[in-house]
Amino acid sequence: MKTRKNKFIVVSIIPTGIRCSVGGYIGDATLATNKIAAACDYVITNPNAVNAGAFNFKEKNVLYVEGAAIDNFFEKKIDLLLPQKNRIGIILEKIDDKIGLRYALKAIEAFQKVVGIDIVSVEYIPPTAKIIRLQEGQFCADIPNIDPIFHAAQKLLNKGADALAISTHIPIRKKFLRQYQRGLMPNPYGLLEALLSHTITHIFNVPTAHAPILTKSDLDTYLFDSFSSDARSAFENISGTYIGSVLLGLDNAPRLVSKGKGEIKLNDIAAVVLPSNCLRSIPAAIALECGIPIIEVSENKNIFDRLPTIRGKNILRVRTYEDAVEKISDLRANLT
Amino acid sequence: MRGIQTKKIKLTGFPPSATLAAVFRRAKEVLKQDNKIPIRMILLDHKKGCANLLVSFIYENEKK
Repeated sequence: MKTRKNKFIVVSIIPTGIRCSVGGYIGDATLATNKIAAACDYVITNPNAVNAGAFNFKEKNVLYVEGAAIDNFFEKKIDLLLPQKNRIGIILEKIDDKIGLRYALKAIEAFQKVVGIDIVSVEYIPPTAKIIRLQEGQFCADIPNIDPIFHAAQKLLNKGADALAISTHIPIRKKFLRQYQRGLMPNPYGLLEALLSHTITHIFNVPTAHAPILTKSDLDTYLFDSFSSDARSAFENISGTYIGSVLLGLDNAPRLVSKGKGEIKLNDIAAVVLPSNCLRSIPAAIALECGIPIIEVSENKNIFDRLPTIRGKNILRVRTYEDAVEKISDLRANLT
Repeated sequence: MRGIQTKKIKLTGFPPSATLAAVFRRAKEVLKQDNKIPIRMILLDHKKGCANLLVSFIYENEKK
């Protein structure tokens, strides 16, 4: 096994669907993430931070790790292997809207033939009921039957997939889409996407990410009807399908392996970067407990800003992501 | 048949010194006792020995 001693590794998380001012749209945290990456050997981040519709502009040393896998990594249930080429299996919801489905299939073909993404196979699942509602200021979701997704995932793994991309349609009311695009509401897709990818990660422990399939009606909204929207959502205006960003991310995502068998372990993490008042998840809680420095970026405002501030000895508050990079450089200098 | 559900839960009886990690561990235990597999947990608030979380979990649906 390769050793990764003396590597300087930071985790930067931008939670999905909480209206972050940096990373609350699609791919709009890429610049910030790449800046952090420039100061580290590796930065581990969640797909939401860098998925940009049809595109993904993350740097090579940005490690694309699904949120539930990041939780498992902090809980010391798994380690990570350094990036290598993955064979990707795709779970595609066979929606009735033919245009949306054809766009997705064409994108898969393009990324396979032009970019060189290694696709094992596409497994179709029937249209799946999804219930989306607003609760506690964020979108929440229920999915009454996820068994077809599990069966499709198992088939793809049996065929040799190392990573799974899942692409389903998420029915969002146009009213919510418009409010989201004007910066008035969290990303309505985010939570359901997170739940689907978290579920597959929990059950199968492989790199996973979700991309929405857009219907003709969604395409009309995004491609032709929303040029007055917030600039941070611009990739939505120019992406006919979103699976490209996920395929590019999973292409070299770190593999998830049992504790003790990986090249990157929790003990290797030098710092965790989080948006303002976002110490509300398992990685932050464990970083607080273990004394891993947490860099909280106050410019990255979100719906949690209205909640009480969480305090801790190892929290370093900075204003911008540039300040966070400076702090990371200081931490690195102090180690050498 | 398995499904995914999201709901708010309230946990009580924490000592004032309880860490956030302890709150999450307790939430996981509570869900597991109910045969639910937690897949996402967000802490909403935590004060005076009481914590509110928004949790999503896999559950076994009895409807076939």
